[in-house]
Amino acid sequence: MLVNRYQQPIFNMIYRMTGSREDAADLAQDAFIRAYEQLYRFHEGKKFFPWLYTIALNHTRNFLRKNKTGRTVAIDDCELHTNSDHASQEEDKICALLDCQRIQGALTRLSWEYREAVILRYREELPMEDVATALSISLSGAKMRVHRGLKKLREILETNDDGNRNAS
Amino acid sequence: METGTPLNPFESGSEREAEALMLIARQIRQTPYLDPPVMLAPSVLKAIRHKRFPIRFRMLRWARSPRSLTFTPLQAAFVASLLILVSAVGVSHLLQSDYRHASQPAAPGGVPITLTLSMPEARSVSVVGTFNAWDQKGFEMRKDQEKGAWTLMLHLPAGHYEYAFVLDGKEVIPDPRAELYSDDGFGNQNAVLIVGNHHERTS
Repeated sequence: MLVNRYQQPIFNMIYRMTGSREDAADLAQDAFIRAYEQLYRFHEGKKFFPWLYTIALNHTRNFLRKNKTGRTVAIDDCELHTNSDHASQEEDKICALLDCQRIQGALTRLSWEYREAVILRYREELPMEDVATALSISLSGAKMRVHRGLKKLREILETNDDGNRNAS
Repeated sequence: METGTPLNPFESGSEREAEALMLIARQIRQTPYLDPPVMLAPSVLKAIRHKRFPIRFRMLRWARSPRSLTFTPLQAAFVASLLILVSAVGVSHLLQSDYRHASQPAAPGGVPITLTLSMPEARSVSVVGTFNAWDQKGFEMRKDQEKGAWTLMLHLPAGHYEYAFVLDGKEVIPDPRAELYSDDGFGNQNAVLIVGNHHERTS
């Protein structure tokens, strides 16, 4: 069943876009229903996953446009799902937790155009061609957007780090 | 406009920047992957259960779906025979239709043709022509006593004929009322009669 197969990546992608589990669940459900309704438009021979991503992204974008309030990711999300490789050492676990919180917080501050590109490329690890397809832009445009998104993310992280240092 | 920026962050710029970007990319990759809500899939299935695709798509999908046919050799032979029979009947019908159209055969019994000659002084008149091999026997005309005209009804298949009248068994004259004439090769003329499928001609 397509829903079972793709619900996790779609839910997570939307979750990283919105920063809210509840919104992600609702949007993922709507995205799957829309995909089912538009299934007859899907051309056989093309990749299904980028097509599904496109629908989910479009739906999420509309949601973000209507709800421009900023969101932050709760720390317990990172805490609960920290990579188990770090669990053996308490110090590494704390560092990983802080990194997770730091990067997720920065992602939510990134504009959604860059956020979706960076998430698709580095979290979902889609090939650049599929990123371009999912975003409905050219390959060179996708590369540009991913690169720019990463640089902006770095700027956000550095600004946060500077702010934290000054505060302390 | 996003121009003038290197596409690959790891190929250009300072080494420090490249390392920083690689670290960020790795941290993004290590962000937790959440399990979707348990009710996500059931709620989607419940929502789409009663949704139907457009009729156009359903028909297209049906037409594109492969089907398996199971039949015995006997059934196949029967169907093949039936197809051959239907084809043969169809071809035969077409050929007959073409032949009728081309040759214009006469209607059953031939096309009724009435030949008339106004010759009250003649004692007998017969008709000879290509339709009776120029033999007047059996093709004697009857005289209408009131009008003084000689008449004979023929039933001829559609076609092209030449004919003439024989007066009193010795004098041969072409039909004076004919529309066409043809030389007989001996200095005389024959009347020409063209009979179609749906014509009743009176000469």
